[in-house]
Amino acid sequence: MTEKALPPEDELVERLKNNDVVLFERVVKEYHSAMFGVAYSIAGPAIADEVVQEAWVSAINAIHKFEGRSALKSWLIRITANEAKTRLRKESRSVSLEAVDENWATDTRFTEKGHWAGGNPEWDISSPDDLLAADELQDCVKKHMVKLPDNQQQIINLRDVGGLDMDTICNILEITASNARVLLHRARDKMQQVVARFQRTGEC
Amino acid sequence: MLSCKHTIAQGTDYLDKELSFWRKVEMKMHLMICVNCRRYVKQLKQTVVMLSKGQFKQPSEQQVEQLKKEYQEVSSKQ
Ligand SMILES: [Zn+2]
Repeated sequence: MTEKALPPEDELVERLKNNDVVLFERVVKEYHSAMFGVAYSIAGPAIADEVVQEAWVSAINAIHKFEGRSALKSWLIRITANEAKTRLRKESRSVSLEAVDENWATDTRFTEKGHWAGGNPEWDISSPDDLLAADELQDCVKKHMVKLPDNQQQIINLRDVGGLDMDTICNILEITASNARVLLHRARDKMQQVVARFQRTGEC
Repeated sequence: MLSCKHTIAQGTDYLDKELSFWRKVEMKMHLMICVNCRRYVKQLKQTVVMLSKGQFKQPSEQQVEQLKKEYQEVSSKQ
């Protein structure tokens, strides 16, 4: 969470083009986390930091050409994803939908007929701000994000953390829109379950 | 009637407005009568918003300083 919101997009870009180093530092601190998530999910933990650093350097060198056709954040995320892709590719980039669906039959949340087995209780901590303020919960979310299968991790980082649209994501990851939607849902569903379990049991 | 399991499987498409008209109607009808799935959809949305705002990794002071230096060098040349 940020203490102070960044200025509106137009002003932000204009000031970044005009050597406003104080603002630049705030932008780095605001967007670094999302860029890191994308770099980590595509290029792997060993070089994620390096990829983000290189992405920033590319961005710094290209900012004067930035025309604001997308949000600054999306632009940074795209640069990061492309940088990550040119680096180490994880060995298996194939999108296997079998792996995605393996839990469908054995999902213990549901009875055989597809009803909720034990109901779905209301969350005690429920507003996004309260969720974000719960440190232990955030640690837990972080821990489980990196446990997602590669392709799910990439999609959820590009889409929900990075805020890119699905067309751009499909281009970056070279997958079809329908596969992307299935993978995104699997990833979100998993994270919903992580939060739900934490709220129910207090455990990660 | 859509089962709960099938309903929540459409949760992402529902939130992102990717469902066809009839699928959406079907889903809304289920949500009207099922508190568990209604909660699920709300929780899924809260999870997404949380992820979009979460700060999971802060840059090190060293990284920030290095980038500020880079930024100032490039800026001064333009
Ligand atoms: Zn239901």
